Amino acid sequence: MSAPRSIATSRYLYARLLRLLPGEFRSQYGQPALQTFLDLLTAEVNRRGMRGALAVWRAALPDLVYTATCEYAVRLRRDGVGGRPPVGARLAAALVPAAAVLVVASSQALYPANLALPEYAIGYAVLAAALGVLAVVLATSRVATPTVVVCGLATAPGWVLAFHAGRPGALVVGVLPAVSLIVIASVSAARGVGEAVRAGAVTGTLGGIIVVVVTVLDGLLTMRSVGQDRIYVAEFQHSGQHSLAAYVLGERIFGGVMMTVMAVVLGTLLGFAVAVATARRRRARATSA
Amino acid sequence: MAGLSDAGFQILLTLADGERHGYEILQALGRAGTSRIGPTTLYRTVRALRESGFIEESDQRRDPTEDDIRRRYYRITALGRQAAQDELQRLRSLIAMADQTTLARRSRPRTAT
Repeated sequence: MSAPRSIATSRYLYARLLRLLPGEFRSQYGQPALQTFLDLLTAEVNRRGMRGALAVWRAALPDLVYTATCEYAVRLRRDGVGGRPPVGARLAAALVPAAAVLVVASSQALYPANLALPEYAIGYAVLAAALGVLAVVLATSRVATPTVVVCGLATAPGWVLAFHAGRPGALVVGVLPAVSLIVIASVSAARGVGEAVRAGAVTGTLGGIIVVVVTVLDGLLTMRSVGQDRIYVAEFQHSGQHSLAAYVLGERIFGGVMMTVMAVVLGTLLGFAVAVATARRRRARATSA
Repeated sequence: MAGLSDAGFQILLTLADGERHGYEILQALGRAGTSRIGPTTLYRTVRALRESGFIEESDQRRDPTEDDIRRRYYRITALGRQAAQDELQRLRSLIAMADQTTLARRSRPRTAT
């Protein structure tokens, strides 16, 4: 590779890599950092050729990763004391209710029999509207902190295992990790009662909505074997409905919604308990000091 | 007054005798052999120094070429000069203290007799 070409390629790559840095830092110092990198590179390429270019890259890459890590750590610390969470966390949180709307809508597109029943149609419309509002709130407010989002999303494997097992008591496999993750999120936010309660409630909400996604997806994927489940078939016959698939999906969607409500209540209560325990511990420490 | 980091102190030293742009600062640090930092670490430190009021950006350009327009020049402020002098004084005191110890006497090279 010729010297001007290697410099042009390096310029292109370094400019792209600078996008790893948070926007605030990049907009202020991205251009000067690129210019300084080019000055270094040009001097080394003129002096040592490709070996010089490699030496500059060998130093520049760890430097870039270190700076990106430090800058994001600073932002995380700053967001933890009342600032707006990073856009990645807010988007990830908003994607959970959005995914639930998508999964519910897909299930009704595939098995639309329930849409003819007014109580189901109204129920689905209310659910979609509530999830839509929630997605907007999570994307724009300060509630979806990175810890809360990570804890909320981390409840997913437990729910998948619980619903895949499909046995009585298997729900414990999902509930126990979810409770632990709600407590972790609340403890990490326990600077005040409000923050801990909010962290518990939001983690519970995200975990609950993941239940809707998991249980409906599981219903869609295992629809063929549902006809062999005697309990489901008996309940379906008793319901007086005409489509077993639509009946199963309706049960799962509204069952998931019930789980979400319970998870929100549980999250709020656990958040409050963590806040009270933290306040007591601080008071005891202050008294002993 | 905000604390001065090691890299920050070294950048103040490179700016003590006149304004420089990023590459010149790195060159000066490289020549001194005290520290090797990359472009993004340089500008993180520059930001911290500017926020502390120790340096400021200069709008003067030595060479009005296109490349020079893209460069940003920095100069030390009176507050930065004072901070560097305080740090220098602190380091001198440390060295004086170290010189009084057996550690310094042991590390001193022996002269031929």
